[in-house]
Amino acid sequence: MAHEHGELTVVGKPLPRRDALEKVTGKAQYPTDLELPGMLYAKILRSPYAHAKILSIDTSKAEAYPGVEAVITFKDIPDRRYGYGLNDQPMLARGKVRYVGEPVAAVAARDLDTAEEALELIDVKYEELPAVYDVEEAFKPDCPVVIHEDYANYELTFFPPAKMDVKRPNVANHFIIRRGDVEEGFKEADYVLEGKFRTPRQQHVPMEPHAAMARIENDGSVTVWASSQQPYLLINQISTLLDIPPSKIRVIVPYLGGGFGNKTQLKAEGICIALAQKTGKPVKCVFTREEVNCGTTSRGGTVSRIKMGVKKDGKVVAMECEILYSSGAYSGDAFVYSTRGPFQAAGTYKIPNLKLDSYLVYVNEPVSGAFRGFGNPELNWGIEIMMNRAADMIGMDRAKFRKINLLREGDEGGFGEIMHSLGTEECLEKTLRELSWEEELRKKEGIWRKGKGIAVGNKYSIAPSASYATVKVHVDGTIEVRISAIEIGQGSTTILAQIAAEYFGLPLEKIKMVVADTAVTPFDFGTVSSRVTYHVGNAILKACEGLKRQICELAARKMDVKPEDLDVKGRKIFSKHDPSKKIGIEDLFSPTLGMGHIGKYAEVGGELIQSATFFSKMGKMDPATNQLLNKHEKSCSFWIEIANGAIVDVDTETGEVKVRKFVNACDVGRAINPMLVEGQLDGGSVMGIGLGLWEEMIFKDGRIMNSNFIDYKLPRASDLPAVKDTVSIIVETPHREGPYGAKGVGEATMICAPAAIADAIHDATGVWITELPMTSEKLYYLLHKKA
Amino acid sequence: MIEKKEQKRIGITLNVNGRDYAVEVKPHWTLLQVLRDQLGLTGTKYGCGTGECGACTVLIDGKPMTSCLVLAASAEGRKITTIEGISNGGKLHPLQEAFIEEGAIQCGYCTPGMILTAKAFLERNPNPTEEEVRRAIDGNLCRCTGYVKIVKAILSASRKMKGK
Repeated sequence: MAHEHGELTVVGKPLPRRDALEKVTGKAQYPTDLELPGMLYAKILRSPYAHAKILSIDTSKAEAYPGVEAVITFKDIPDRRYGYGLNDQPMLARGKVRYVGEPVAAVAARDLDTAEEALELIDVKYEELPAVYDVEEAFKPDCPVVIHEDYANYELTFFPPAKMDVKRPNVANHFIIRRGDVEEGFKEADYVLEGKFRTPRQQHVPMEPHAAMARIENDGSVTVWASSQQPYLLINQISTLLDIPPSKIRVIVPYLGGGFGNKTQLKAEGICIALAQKTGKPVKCVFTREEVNCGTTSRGGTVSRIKMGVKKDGKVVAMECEILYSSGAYSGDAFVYSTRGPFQAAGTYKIPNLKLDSYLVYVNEPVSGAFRGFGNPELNWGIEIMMNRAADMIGMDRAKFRKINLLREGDEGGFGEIMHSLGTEECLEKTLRELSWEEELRKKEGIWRKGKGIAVGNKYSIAPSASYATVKVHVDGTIEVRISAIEIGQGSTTILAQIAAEYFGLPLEKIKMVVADTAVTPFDFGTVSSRVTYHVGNAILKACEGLKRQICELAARKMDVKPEDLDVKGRKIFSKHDPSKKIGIEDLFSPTLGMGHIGKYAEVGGELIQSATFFSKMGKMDPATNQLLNKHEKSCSFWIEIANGAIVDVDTETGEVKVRKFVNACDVGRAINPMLVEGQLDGGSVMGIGLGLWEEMIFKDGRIMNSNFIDYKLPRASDLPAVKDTVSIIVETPHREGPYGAKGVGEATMICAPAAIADAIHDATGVWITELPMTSEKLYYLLHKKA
Repeated sequence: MIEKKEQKRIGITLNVNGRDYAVEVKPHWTLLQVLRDQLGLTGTKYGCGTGECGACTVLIDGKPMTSCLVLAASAEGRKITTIEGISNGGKLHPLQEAFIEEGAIQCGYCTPGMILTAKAFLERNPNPTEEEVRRAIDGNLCRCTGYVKIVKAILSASRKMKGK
């Protein structure tokens, strides 16, 4: 949506968050904090086996245990499955378990201790089955372990439909890109390079574990308080699984203690509802940290192979990628993940011949799901190392080599679409300046070596995708905005209020935000894919335009002018021809005659309220190539472009790496609130450093070995570069359809951190690491093998 | 009916934010549980239950402790301070002000523990370097901010507090 706007007064200002005071005083309420009178506590019995047949479940002892009010198993719920694109997951295991941590039964009891004790009284008999954990093993056509025998009967709800490779029994999806002719491209190339790369399973570690609380209302409808980034997806999944019509499900989402993609799909909500239905009492469930690690989702590991053809003049002429995404035992969000991670290959470089195959592969590990970047950091990891290796091979500066190949305004991207609003080059230039790229680093000798590195990348935002917004005028002139965007910490509630305030020329305090209670807040695709500012922001602007029309129509009656002659700014409605002719927004409402104490009302038209939809369409693609049939349509809502830079010190004896400086430059279109955008960039840099150097969930026979924060190494404050050396750069290339030019930011911030660090390590030591995380141990072996 | 061995509750008095509370607790209940479930002080958060994330940090006799590892019964007779107890009659503590001004809050779940750790630290070291601040909050995980604005906020609060 294009907007003519003069000087902005609220948008673009680094205003403090609206929720800051609540959060700093401990008053902010999160799902874990909620309680209801008479509430029961739920605990979930989870599978101890990675792959096993369930022979029997005896719940009689648990049911008889004093204080227990209900026990449920698959027998208590309809035989349904859920997912995101592919419905393959039961809410409670039915016949078989496929990972350690899979829910098998659940208990509701009067207190938590009783619920925990009762779990031990449930007797489940299993027959263990052979399991497969390695994604390349599971991918083989002759893999003896088949995790989903019934795959062919599962329901598909996404387009383009899944492609099953009938020869590979554990492949859940196959996505392709075919552009040009790679074989011809490789023939044309002066050099052809190949590489194989790995990325690990990473946990989001939102500081707040997942929680849910459900209450059955007197009319049989359901209210559920949820840790959910997608309340409307949740309504749909609850409806499918428990056979409840959507109109009878109300989802309320309070503040969430972080999400990062970990709070997208159904978690404990369905179990709480089923237990509440059985007991007639409210039920709450809070996950332990171990349950978050194994019973929710994580970033699945990947194995990728990349082949790149380059010419001596620096042009990349062909690229072939194959990436295996580990799905875990069910597809989770990974079904869509495996179709959207590949966008990484399509949105940064102009590559005339591109062939990509992405496979989603089941293994007997916890379910993989959405995680900041949605499959893109995994592919960026390999592509950017290949770019650096290719530059070295032709003896060209790594930055110059990138500039030759970057997509620019009007170029065709990997899906054949005409690209626009790309700030990649500015991101790269600013990153290079911060790194003093041209200057040689001094420390090239001795045990500690210094190195500099760069990487670039992109993050698409998903299409098709829709958001609604509803806005209304209160009698005191306050504008209320109702949206289902979730405040997961990114500051959406503040940013979206800024957009509405800017539109009406109001101070921020005159905007009231009503957030994420589906009884009153309208449909939204979800707080995912860095899409909220753009989509919900645009929906708010559209709704505001409609509301302004309503305001002018009502005011025109009172002022005896034509509605089209009026405008609204600040708290005034005035004539465009004679601004002295004006009334206040409050004057739209008349006192209820003789009943003044009742309040004020609008004489015609009912509530001054307007709802609007903003929809991003995805263009039709040729299913044989995934190239757009119309180049002017879109493969996604918008593209965010990024460049990262790193300076590292490496101990060449032990392999220890210290990041001394990190630069994160991101083209966000326009920063609605620069302080909050900076916060996203700072946080993304550090999460990216974590993925780069330390974070990896380690499994043995399907069981997690490091489900605590000593063994699962998260970035801590003293592991990181100084404040002045954590450089977050906001680049603004206004997007022609963005609200005030804004695109998005959240996920883009951690796409290329690992590759930038790898480049710096290579600069310091001459060694390329190809497997994340780049631990001291791996680097030690590479350094000493090399010597 | 299956026999259930009910653990006896013991009566204790906890001094929280300057007020005495008489509560009945089971011997294995943690201070975290009792603060949240018995006293309704939900500003203290559960993050890991093993003392590794710092979300449940409270001050016990002025020292930051992870309340998930402290048995409630063992906290009797000691002065406990939670996030609800550090603003003085509605006036924010300089750390709270600095966290708001510097943008050091995102999801806010680590914020109470972070502020209490920082409070104890600044009382011990009113004039810290950035490196000292970073070491002081090493036991408090934040997944949103990358610690950048938190470190800035703590340094800014130290300047504010000296100015008083």
